[in-house]
Amino acid sequence: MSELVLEIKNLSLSFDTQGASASILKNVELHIGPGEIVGLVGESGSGKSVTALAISKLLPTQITKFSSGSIVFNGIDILASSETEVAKLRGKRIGFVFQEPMTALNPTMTIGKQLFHVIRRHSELTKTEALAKVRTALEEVLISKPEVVENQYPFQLSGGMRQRVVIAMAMAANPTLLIADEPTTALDVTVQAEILNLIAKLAKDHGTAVLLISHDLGVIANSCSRVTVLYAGEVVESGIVSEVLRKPQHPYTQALIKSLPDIADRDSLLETIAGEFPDLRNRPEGCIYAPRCPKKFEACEVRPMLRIAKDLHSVACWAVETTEK
Amino acid sequence: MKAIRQLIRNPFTRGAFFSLCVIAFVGIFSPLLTPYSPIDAKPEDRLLPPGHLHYFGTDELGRDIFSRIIAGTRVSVGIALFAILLSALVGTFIGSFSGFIGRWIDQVIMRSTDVLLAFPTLVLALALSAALGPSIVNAALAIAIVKLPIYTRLARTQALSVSHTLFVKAAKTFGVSSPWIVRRHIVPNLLTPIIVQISLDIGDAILLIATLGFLGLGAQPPTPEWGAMISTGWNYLLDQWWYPTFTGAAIFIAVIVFNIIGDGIRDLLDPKAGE
Amino acid sequence: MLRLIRARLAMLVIVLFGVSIITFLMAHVLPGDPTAALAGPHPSQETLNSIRTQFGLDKPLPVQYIKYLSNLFHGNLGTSIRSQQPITQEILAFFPATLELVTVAFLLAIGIGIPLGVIAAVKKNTFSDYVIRLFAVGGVSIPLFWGGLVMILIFYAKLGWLPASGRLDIELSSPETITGFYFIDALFGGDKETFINVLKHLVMPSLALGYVQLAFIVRQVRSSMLDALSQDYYLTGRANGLSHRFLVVRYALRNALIPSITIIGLSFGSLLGGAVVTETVFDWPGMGKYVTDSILGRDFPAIMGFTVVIALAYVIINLLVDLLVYSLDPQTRK
Repeated sequence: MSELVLEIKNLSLSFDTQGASASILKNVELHIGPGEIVGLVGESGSGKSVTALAISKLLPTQITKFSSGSIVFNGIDILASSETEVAKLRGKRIGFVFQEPMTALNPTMTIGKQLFHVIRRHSELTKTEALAKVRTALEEVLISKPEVVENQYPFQLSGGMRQRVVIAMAMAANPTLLIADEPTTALDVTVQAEILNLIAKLAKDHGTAVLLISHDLGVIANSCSRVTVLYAGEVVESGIVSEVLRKPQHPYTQALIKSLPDIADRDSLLETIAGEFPDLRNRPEGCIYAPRCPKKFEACEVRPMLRIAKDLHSVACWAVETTEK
Repeated sequence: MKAIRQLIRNPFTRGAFFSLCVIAFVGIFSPLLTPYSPIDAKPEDRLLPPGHLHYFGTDELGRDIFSRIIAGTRVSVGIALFAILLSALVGTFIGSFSGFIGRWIDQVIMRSTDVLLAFPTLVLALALSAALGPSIVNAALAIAIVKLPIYTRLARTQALSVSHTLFVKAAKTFGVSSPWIVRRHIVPNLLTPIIVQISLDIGDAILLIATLGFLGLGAQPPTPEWGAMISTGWNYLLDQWWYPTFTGAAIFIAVIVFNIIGDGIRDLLDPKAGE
Repeated sequence: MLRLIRARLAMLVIVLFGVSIITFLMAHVLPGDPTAALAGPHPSQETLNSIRTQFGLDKPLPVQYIKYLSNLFHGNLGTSIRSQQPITQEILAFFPATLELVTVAFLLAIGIGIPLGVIAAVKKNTFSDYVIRLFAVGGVSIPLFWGGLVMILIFYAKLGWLPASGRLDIELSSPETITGFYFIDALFGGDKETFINVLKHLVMPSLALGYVQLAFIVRQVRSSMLDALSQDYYLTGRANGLSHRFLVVRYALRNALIPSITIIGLSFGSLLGGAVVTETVFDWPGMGKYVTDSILGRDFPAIMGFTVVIALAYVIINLLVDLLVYSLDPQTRK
């Protein structure tokens, strides 16, 4: 494998507000190779978005405290870089697509102008060239009437159209990595597939690596080659998508898959996960999932490391047989 | 109690809170705290500069300005409190019935508040107290009327949202009397926003009272009201600068203390509005 | 847009109608009896009666009101008790001076207030933020007349830098009227000495008056900026690598201005109120000075005339502000 686009190692961070501290991420491991689409899955509050924002250093600086680990993007140590250095990467080398297209665009600026300013920021193009680039960028995200859309304001567009614009902006500078944080969650089911296909096509055409964040295993299954499962800020399982989804090893992943509605088996009841999400202000000493885990035993009082079970499939669970320590 | 503890935690509001306690103390015990009579003239001592006998000097009738400022605390702050509480009480009453009853009564009341809001605050207060005749009670009434639309609208909004809740609808269906519903369900919901508004308005009311006094429309001599004192002191501005200057400083301090407390309370009870 | 203007104009008519009722009530029903002021101390019953007949005060209230309303409609605000001149003319003569003062104060307030509000929001909870907030809370707390007083003591009495009263030194003749704004007229007049003198006279009154508004503007802009800075689109802009300056101005401020302008417009009204105090303090020959003189002279019709004019101005300004907000917000413009 060639050099990694993104490598997150042992990343731990907490949000410290007056008097209280919440441990949001704990020893997170994640890596993405060039052109690869990697999924990051977990329920809300699991730290998916925090991980994404940390990559671009977009977390509120006053309260975020990094306690261990590193984020290396294309050989650049993000955490050691200054705000100015990271700012140069944003939009140019790292594109971002957010969950909520309804609010992700500046409501008082036309679509064309918003794109124009992003394009001008990251290129040496003249005004005329940049205006032409706005057109092609909109065409590339399959907007059928770019000459109309560029003069419109965000409120005049549907959610799907807005998300296309957001994608066009994120891809405008041809970034090495695209981070898509729940890009389809706020959209209609019919539009969801279009947007996912669009992202996959663009990534393929431009050779862009993608970190696709979702709580929806279906989305991950269709688009990604590898997946990492996050629970309460800890990686519990990670591996090839087909492997992880077909043969989940970690009890949490298993429960997550069981809680999916199964089209083939309409009569079965959906399973829910018993117990409560842990209190991140007091992260338990042992396995983070143990309080809800049906397979819990004595060993679980010690935190399990992420270990390789087989063929790049790693799991953080004592109950799983692994090939290495 | 919990609110006070939170106010004290922030250094910004902590200072203001202790100053407020001092102002309240001075206001309540002012007759005991004045070194000289704030009313009786002593012509042989007129217009003395500040010194160890008269901290802030004396006025044109030989009265100790320090004593008059202390006595004025009760007048100025007390009247401002009175005006705002009166306004809040009447406005809440009108507003909650307006929102609760609805129909044309609501329309009439709302248009009336529009009309009152068509005047800049100070101009309306000025015209009203001129029309009522210059006196401190009339000035207080004028301020109460000027502030009325705010409380009426606040109460109406709350009343509207509460009267659409299922519980009140049910109560209405069972023929529970309107006053009872207003008292039991609308008033309690109103308390927080009204308290926030009152705390934000007191400083403004002190300023208004003083301004009316300064323009000759509020308290009349020999009442030791801050604004009126400055109005007289103005004639001695260039030669006896201390006369209006210290009095004005008292107003400034009182108002800023109330404003900081008001902001603090607003941030505490209604965090969304603050930041 | 047209429909909005029509609705707002209809509203304006209702409000002005209400304003006329209120001023009428204040002038004719409340205890401060205008005849008493006219008749002087210890009048005989006959003098009182003859004055009542002269001013139509013996007629029933509705008749009086209709007369009052029709006068208002024709721009007739009555006759001043002190000068026996038509109040409309007197107020019109004083109007430009007030407008000049208020406009300059307003421009100062927004020119300084908006940037300070932006800085405070961008640097939230830092030292600069605290200083700006303290400065702002001072502005809403300072009695205007006392602020003026301290300025006079320092810059006039102590340092002798600035004049303390009027629009122009007495020995200088006022510039030829073009706009009624002395500083513009003096500029066109080309006399450098007059121009500088006019500016010197403007400094203290406009700063004193502007400080209060500035404080309101800082607070408003800071809070709507904080709101805009926490919006998704701002994060998107950051994630797309747009420059900080561009994000603050075109993303945050541009959106924060929409709610701010409403409040800033309303604050223009309190400038009109504040002008009464400022003009009294600095002996500025405008409507405010006119009304305080009227208060001292118990000139009731003049006070009410002033009140009506200010309310009219205020309502029109608010209408303009509304239209401005609508034109700034693309969502309502279409």
